[in-house]
Amino acid sequence: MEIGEEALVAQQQVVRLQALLEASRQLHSTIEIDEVVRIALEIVVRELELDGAFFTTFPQSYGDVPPALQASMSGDAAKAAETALDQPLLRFALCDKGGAQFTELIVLLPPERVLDLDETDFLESLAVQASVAIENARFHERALQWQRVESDLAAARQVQLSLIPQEMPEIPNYALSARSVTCYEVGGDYLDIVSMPSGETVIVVADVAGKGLASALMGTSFRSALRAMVQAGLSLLEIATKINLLHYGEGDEARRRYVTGILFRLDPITHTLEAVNAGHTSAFLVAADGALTMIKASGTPFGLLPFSSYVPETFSLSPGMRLLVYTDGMTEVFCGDDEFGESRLLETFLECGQLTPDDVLDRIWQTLGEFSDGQEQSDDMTALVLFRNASWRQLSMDQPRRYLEIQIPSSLGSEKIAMNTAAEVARSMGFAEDRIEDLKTAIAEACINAMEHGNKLDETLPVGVILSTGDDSLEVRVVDTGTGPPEHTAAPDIDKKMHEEETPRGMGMFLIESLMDEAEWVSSPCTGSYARMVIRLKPD
Amino acid sequence: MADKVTQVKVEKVPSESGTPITVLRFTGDITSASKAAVLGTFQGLPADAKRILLDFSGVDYLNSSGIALVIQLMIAASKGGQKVQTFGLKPHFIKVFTMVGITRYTALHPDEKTACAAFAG
Repeated sequence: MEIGEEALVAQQQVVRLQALLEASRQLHSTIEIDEVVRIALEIVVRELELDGAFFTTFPQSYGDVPPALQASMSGDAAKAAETALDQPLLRFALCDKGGAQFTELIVLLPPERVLDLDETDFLESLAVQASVAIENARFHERALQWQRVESDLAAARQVQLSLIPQEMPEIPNYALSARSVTCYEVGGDYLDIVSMPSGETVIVVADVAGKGLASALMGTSFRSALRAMVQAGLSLLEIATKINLLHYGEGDEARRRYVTGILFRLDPITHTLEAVNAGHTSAFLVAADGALTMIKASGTPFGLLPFSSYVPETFSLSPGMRLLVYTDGMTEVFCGDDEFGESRLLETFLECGQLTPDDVLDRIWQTLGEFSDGQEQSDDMTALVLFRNASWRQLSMDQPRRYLEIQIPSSLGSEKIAMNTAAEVARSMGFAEDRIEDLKTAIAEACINAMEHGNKLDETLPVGVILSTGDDSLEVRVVDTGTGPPEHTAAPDIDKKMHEEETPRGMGMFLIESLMDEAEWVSSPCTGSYARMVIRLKPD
Repeated sequence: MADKVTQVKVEKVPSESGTPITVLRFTGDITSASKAAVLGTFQGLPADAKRILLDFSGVDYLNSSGIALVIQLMIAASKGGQKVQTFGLKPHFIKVFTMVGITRYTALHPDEKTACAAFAG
C-alpha cells in the first residue's frame, strides 16, 4: 500500500472511530429504552449508508425494512424468512453482562453492497455499546417499576397502620395498651378494639398465616367481616362460627392463609371477660395474687376447616387482674437456635407486676431485644395488655364523664359507704341537699336489694357501685353477682299493708323509681345484674 | 360503717285531757336490724297505753326495712285500739312516708306539742 493510501485509510479509521465515539455518546445520552433503540438504528443506517436496520425484540425499525421481514425475524420463523428473502443482511448479537443474548441487530445491505472489515468492526462495536445502553435503560425501567411497588407498599403500610386502633379507649376501671410491629412493610397480624354502645369492649388479636402483603390483604378482609359481625351484636360464639365458615368459603388461597385469633368481650360493669380462642396462642390471665389462668384454644384456626366447635369461656375479673394476649411472633424470637418461647414470655409478664400496661409492653419488647441481641425479627409481633385497676380510680378531670367505682361487702349497713360517697360526688356537682337525700335513699335501697337478693347476704360477694358523672347528671350502677333483680313489685298499697294483705316490706324499687329521674334493672344471668339510676341537676 | 344501733327511750307525758301519752323516742338508725327496738319496745308497753307518740327527731337514717317496722307497729297499734301520732321526721323522710302512704294512718307533726294536741282531736 502506498503511503498516500495508508494515510487515507488511517484518516478513514479516525473518522470511523470518531463516529463510533459520537454514536456511543448519543446512545448513552438517554436512559429511555425506546430512545436508545431509535438512536442505535439511525446511526447504523446513516453512518454506513445501509438500507435499513431493526432489533429482533423491539418493534422500532429505521430505513427501508419490509414489515414482513421484521415480523418473521422477530418470531420463531426467523431462519426461514432469512432464507426466503433475496436481500443480504447481517446479524449482530446483543448480550447482557452475563453473556446471554437478549436481542439481535439486523442490518439490511443495499444490493451488491459488501461491508469491509472496518465497517463490520464498527457495527460490532456499536452493538456492544447498544447492549450496554439498552441494559442500563432496562435497569432504569425496573428501578422505576420498583419505586412504584415501594410507593404502593408504603401506601399499604399507611392504610394498615390507620386500621390499627389509634388510641386506647377509656374503659372505666381498666387500663389497656397494645402494640403491633410488622416484619415487612405490611404484616398479617390483626389487632382491633371495638367499643360497643352497651359500654362493653370487643378486643381481637389475630394472626394470618404467612407474612407480608398477601397476609395483610387477607387480614383486612378478615377485619371487615369481623367488625360487621361485632356491630351486628352477635355473640362471640356466633362470630367465631360464622367467620370460620366465611373464611373457609373464600377458597383455597384463603384456606392456605387461615387465621388464628382470640376474641374477647369485656363488660366493665360486671367485670366479666368472655373469650373464644380459635387456634391462637394461649393468653395469660393473672390474678392479683399471682394465680395464672391460661386461655387456651378451644377450636381450630378460622378458615382451616369447614366446621368448628368453639367453646366460649367467661372469666370474672377481680381487682388487679392482668391479661396478656399476643401473636406467635412474640415467642418465636431466636437467639441462635434458642427460641424465646411461651414460658419466658410469661416469666417476663409476671415480673412486670403492677407496671402500667404501656410499661409492661416496653419491658417485654426490651427483654425480647436483649434475648435476640438485636437480631432482625422474622415474624410480625403483636401484644395487648389489659389491667383491671387494683382499686377504684377516678379518671382525669378533663374527661367528658368521670367514673368512680367502689365495692362494698354484702353486709347490711355497708350501703352507707356508697350513700356517703355518692352524696359527696353529688354535692361537688352542685346538687341541692334535698336531691342528695333522694339519691342517698335510692342508693341505699339498691344496695340492700343487691346484698339481699343478688348476693344472698354472702359477705364474700361484693356489691359494686359505679358513679358516672356527666355535665348535668349523675348515673349510678349498683352491681351484684346474682341472676337478676327481685320481681318488680307494683307501688306499695298502704291499705293492704295495714290489713296484712301485703308484706310490709317491698318498697325499695318503688322508692328508687319515685326518687330518681331514671331507673332500670338489668338482668344478666351469666355475668351479674345491676340497677341503673340517673339523677339530673335539672329534672325533666 | 355499720348501722348505728337503734336506741329507744319510753316516756310518759301528761296530756291536757288527762290521759297520759306514751312517747317512744328513737335515736340512731331504723333498719331491718331495729326489730327489737321498734316492735319489741312497743309490744312491751302496758295495755293501758292507748296514746302512742313516735319521736323520730334523733333518727338519721331510715330505710324501707325500717319503714316496714313502723308499719308493723301501726298494725299492732290498730289491733290494740291505740292511736299513733308521729313527729320529728326530717323533711326527706316526711317525703318518703308520704310517698308510701303512711300518712293515711298517722299524722306527721312538726313538733311534739302539735303532736300531743292532736290526740285530743
